Amino acid sequence: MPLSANVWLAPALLVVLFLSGCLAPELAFTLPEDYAEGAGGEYPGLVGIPNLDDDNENGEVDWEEAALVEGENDLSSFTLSAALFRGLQRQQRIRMVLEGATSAIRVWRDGEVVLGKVEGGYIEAHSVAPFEDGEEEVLYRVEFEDFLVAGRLRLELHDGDEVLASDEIYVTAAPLILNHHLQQTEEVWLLELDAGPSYNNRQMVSAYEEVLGEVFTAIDGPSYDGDVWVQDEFQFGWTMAPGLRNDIVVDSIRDRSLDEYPEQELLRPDWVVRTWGDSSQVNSLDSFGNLEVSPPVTVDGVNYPFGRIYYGGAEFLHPDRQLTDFLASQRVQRPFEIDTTWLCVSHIDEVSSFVPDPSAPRGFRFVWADTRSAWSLLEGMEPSAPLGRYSLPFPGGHDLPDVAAFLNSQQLRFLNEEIQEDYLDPLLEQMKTELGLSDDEVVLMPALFEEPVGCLGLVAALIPGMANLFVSNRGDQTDVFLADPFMRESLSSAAGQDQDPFIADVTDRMPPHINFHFVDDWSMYHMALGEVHCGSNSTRTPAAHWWETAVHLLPEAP
Amino acid sequence: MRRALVTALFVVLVAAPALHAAPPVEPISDALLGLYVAGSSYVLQRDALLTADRPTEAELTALYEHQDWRVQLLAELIVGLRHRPEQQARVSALEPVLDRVGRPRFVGPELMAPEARIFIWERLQFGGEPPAIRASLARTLIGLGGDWEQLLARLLADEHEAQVRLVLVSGMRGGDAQTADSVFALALLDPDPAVRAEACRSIGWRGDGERWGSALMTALSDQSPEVRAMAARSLGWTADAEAWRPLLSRLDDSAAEVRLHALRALARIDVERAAAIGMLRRLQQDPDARVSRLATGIVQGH
Repeated sequence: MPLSANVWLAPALLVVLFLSGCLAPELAFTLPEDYAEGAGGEYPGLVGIPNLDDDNENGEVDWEEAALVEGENDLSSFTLSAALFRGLQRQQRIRMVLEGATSAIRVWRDGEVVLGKVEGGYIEAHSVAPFEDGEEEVLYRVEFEDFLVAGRLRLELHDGDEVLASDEIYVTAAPLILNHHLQQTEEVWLLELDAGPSYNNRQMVSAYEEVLGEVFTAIDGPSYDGDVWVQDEFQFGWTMAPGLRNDIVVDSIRDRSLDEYPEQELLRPDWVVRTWGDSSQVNSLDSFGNLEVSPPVTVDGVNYPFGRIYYGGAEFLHPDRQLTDFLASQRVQRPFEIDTTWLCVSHIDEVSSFVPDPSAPRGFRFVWADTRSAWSLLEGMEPSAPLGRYSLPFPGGHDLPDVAAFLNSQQLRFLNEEIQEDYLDPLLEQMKTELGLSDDEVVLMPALFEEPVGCLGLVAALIPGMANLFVSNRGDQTDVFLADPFMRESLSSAAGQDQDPFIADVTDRMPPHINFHFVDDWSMYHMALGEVHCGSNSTRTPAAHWWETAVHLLPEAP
Repeated sequence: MRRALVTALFVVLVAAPALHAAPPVEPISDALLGLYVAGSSYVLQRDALLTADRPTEAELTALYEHQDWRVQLLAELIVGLRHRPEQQARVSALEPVLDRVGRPRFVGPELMAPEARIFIWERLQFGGEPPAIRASLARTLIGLGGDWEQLLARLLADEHEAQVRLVLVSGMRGGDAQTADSVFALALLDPDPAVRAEACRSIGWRGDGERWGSALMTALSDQSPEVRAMAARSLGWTADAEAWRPLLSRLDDSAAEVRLHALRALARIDVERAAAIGMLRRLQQDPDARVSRLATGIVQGH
């Protein structure tokens, strides 16, 4: 070959080599705009929500349907670009592979499952054919069967058996996250019942209506046999991913008259009602007044941006383990149990709560029942001061005519001393440890307990339990509804609240920005061993993105 | 046999009054007592008594002082039914609501009137309802107070359901000591440990609990830990110094609840003496955190 030919051949070869590099297939998943550059490659990658709702309202969970249903809006998506095929050589193939929970994920293209669960098994690999009709990109949709299902999707450039290049993303379903008291309130429920002058919640319902307006819904009492314990039958939570949200109603195995309410009144597209546990083994601790969530906390250096779940129980008596194990498996709100078996109803909401407080170190105060504060207040009162509500005989009241009846009962002092020493003090320490609370984050709520007949020595609130409160946050406005303690002669919540030393003291202890509503829950709730929170429930707005703030809490990447 | 006899009496007294121009009081009381064994024909027999000319109101009111308390109540019931049938209908139609634990609970103005008591008792005694509802009726009855507490011992003696007996015993957390004597005497021998425990608990709630000191000391040896614990607590609440040794012997009880209440009772009786108890060091290491905390507190003089 003459030298001149070589002179021309060398640059031509360089050009060919350069062009072939430029035209090599571009292996890349394109995630929606909500994701940062490269987010797919880092766990949890492309996130979604489990497809547990029923968008076409045909009575079947959408995941269980053979085809994508009309109105389906719970799938995540990514696209592949035509650049995937640029420069693809005849013998080369593009494959997409799914690994991880392959039978709990589906990847859809043009209404067909191309990867993951199909009837009778699952597809692990999909050959990506060149796009037709000059399409620049093709949309894929990812569907998840359950919470926290995770897998990996990989694009591979094959040349025969050899993988020349690949790109991988994680795909992860959202965990179930339960609401805490600092989130914005969306809708509030209370059951309305009026069975005459001695048994109704007229004043309480009016107060909710007046303060909350259209976000408040009164459930028709007679339709649900007067089951006023709206907190106990269901718990609200949610799953979220960019652009996706399902509200989750965790339906308790308690199964009393309100059991059908979620299915009858709440279930609609993007809402899911699920139950964990065996209702034949139900006990009082399975009610959701016994399932609470703290605000965001950092404990021993671990940040819980959605707070921690806590519930009452003990080794010998506890909520159904199917539920508590499931909640623990969600990881993000790592649950803990504290002993409430000394309470007749055994619900954690009888003695604890959280309220927002912008001036507090972490934006909240923890409210905890305290008998010493109650005695101290009683000792400051005139012993002969009549106590209208307390003076009524059972079932109307506690047969305690005046302040002296409290002060002179050595037995009542003994009982409350023992409760304080054996339970309230040590359990407060446990709450402080589990939630990393400092002393100044704790508000002690005056409380006294009694041993109701038939409770076998277990106790319930004697003074209406004011720690058992309901918080509504709308914009900057915080409203707290709590029991009127009736530490005065008046039989009505409409009279004498400004003279009630307990109301004055509680208002003083609590954050000043809160609007307090001391409502009359006496006959329908208090005398039936519950208070305001027990009768209320609400949905709340998710306050953070778990895929950004709670990644450190998730299970190992698949 | 007894039912047949009573039915015969019923026929003689009520269905064929003409044959008896002036029946003696005893046949009337027997007819009333027949309601106790009437079973499913209770309402039929009761209504026959209501609508018949005899017994007259005078005859019935004469039975208010009858030696048999059941006759007293039944006489009062028949009079009440004749005068206030609407009230009885309301009481018998009342549906309980469920408290937060799920126990039935009766509410409403019908139950606040003292005159309703006789009808509540009737429903409790003859309504044939489940134990939980009967227990709630008993609780309502006690809540209404009055001289009905004297009937507690009698109702207790006849009551088959432990759940109801427990409630009846709790009615003696207050009330006069003599009535309480009879109630506690029965309750502390009750076959159901929950009833015996309630007796011990109720004694503690009374201002005169020391009156039953020796009974509580006996209960410290009960086979049920629940009973032993409540006996210990009540001995502490009544600060019964006589109980020192028996309480001391319970500090190594197998049940933590008993050790806790025994130790606290000793401290309530004499805290300085309690601080010198030899076992205290061991109790500071007790596997139950409440016991170890209490023992430590006593050692440290808190």
